[in-house]
Amino acid sequence: MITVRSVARMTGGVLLAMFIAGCSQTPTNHLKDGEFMIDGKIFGLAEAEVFTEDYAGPPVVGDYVTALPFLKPLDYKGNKTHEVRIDTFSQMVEVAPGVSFNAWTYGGTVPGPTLHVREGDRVIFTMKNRSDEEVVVTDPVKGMGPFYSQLQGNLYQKNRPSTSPMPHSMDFHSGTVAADDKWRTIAPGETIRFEWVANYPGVYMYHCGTPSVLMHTAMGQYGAVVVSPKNGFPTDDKVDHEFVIVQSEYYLEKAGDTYIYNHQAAMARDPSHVTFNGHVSALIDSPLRVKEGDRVRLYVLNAGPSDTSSFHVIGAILDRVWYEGNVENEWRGMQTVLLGASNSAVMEFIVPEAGLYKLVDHEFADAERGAAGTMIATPRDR
Amino acid sequence: MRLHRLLLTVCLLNVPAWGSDSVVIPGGDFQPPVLLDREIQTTEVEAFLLDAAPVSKTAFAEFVTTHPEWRRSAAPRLFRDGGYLRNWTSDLDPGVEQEAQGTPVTHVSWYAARAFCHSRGGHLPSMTQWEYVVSLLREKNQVPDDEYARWVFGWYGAQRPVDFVDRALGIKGMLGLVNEWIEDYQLLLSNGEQIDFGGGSCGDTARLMVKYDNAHYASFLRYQSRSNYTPVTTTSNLGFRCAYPLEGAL
Repeated sequence: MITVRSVARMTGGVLLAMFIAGCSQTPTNHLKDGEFMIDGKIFGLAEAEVFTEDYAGPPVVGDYVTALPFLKPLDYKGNKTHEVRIDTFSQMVEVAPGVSFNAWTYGGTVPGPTLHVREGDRVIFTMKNRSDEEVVVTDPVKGMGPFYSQLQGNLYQKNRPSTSPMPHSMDFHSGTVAADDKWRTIAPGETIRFEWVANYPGVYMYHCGTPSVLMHTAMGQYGAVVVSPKNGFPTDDKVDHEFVIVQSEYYLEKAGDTYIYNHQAAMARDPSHVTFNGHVSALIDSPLRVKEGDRVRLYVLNAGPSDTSSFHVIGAILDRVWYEGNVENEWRGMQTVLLGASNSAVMEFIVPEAGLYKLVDHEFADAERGAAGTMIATPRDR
Repeated sequence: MRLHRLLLTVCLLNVPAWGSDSVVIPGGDFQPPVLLDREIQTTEVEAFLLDAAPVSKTAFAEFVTTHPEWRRSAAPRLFRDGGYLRNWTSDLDPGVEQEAQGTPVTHVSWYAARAFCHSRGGHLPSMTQWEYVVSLLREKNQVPDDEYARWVFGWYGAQRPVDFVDRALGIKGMLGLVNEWIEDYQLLLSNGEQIDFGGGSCGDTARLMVKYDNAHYASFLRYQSRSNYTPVTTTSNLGFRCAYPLEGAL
């Protein structure tokens, strides 16, 4: 129930938020019954629903949901409510030449899709546990959003359907909720639906929180949410390219003709592969393409599950860095950004000249295991 | 007490029980790999009878023939989800002509599995009984801990069948054939002032572990995974077997 006191408080919060935003935003994100607002942020969301449905449609739905390394620009003003579906299911994915394993995925890829919203947006999220179904992600999908066209345009993980019935859950670091409600585990065949509000800007990890969390994340259940600041970054008008990079580790061992998860290696933090965007060649076979003089913005998330990343661009200095993707946390002139497991940063640099640039985890034991990518810069128009 | 139980066990070995062939599980002490009660590190298990193999599709077809309330078209949704007996060609036909006899039934809910066992004069094994048998299999067949862990993680991660023949008790399956319902499958763990029915929160496992080796983590994965089922859950790799009181067989 909304009390008189809470109405007064939320009204003040909305007015304050509008004032801070300079009235440039459209505050479409109103409080719903039972919610309350503190410091312009919305809390007290409705309980999650768990139900069964006969849904067999596209496992990823959302206009602002993309495949790595793409990020959908926010082409709307103010705030918006996003209806997003990311189903969880198994998929055979390749992580290195000749190395495939039965991954537990969100949407069929490792890492999963990237969701882009604006600070203050509301997300109505739906996820079906389809781990007992063979879900095909390589066939054309009617009315498919950007995720499928991007994925099918570059199937670098050679995705193939598989089944592996397991309980799973979804934990959005971008949400501020009671985890035992929204992030609860659902059995195969069940669907969960809940809402969260992007109260804070940042680049956030999402992952499965079902025990063993180490195993579920190492098996591939993670991805990125980018919550852009409501007033943007100060360089928004200057940026020429935006890319999303998710670093993560695999702990695999050969078993017959395929590879399986090695828990002992995971506990020992001894990865078999460390990758950008889920494959040792993801950003080498498909390098990032820019021009000299361009301002490049990277949204970098270290998903772990257990290692750090010392992200570095060979030949460039990170002109501006917003740690965790929050515009308040600005650093200048960084050579390397240290990211713990589930830390992130928005990094910008100016491409000095035409040539080939390597993106690496400067912890070279990780780079040698795959944490490297390529950016190719062509000459600018002079 | 121990001698009495041993003699009883020897006498009863290979005694046929109801339904599918059952074997006598000798009583003994069980050290659970997961501390559900931090004060209880050893549990005494009485001897009992256990189906040697998971219940087959054929056996379950016989059950629904004599118990029409558990046919796919009749079983209330309150007691099973939409996948119940999925892939059966009809209410009574599991469509196993092309499959080997004894293929385990799957896509059965906890309610249905219980009803089946009760109809046979038995019950679903308790968590302690089921896990105790796994510990016996490992011990009596001298399965190396790391090998066991690899089986479990390979099975849960990739449905990788386990190449293991039990030469001690005559038990088939249990590791890497199908997952199996047990009577008290949900972990009831304290979490602050609340009870966690989900088998431990995110990353919150160390307080429940007896040892931090690979084998204990593997066992804990099994405890946690099945704890997140609901009683109506049905999946393509979830079956069951029944247990019976030993006295009833005498």
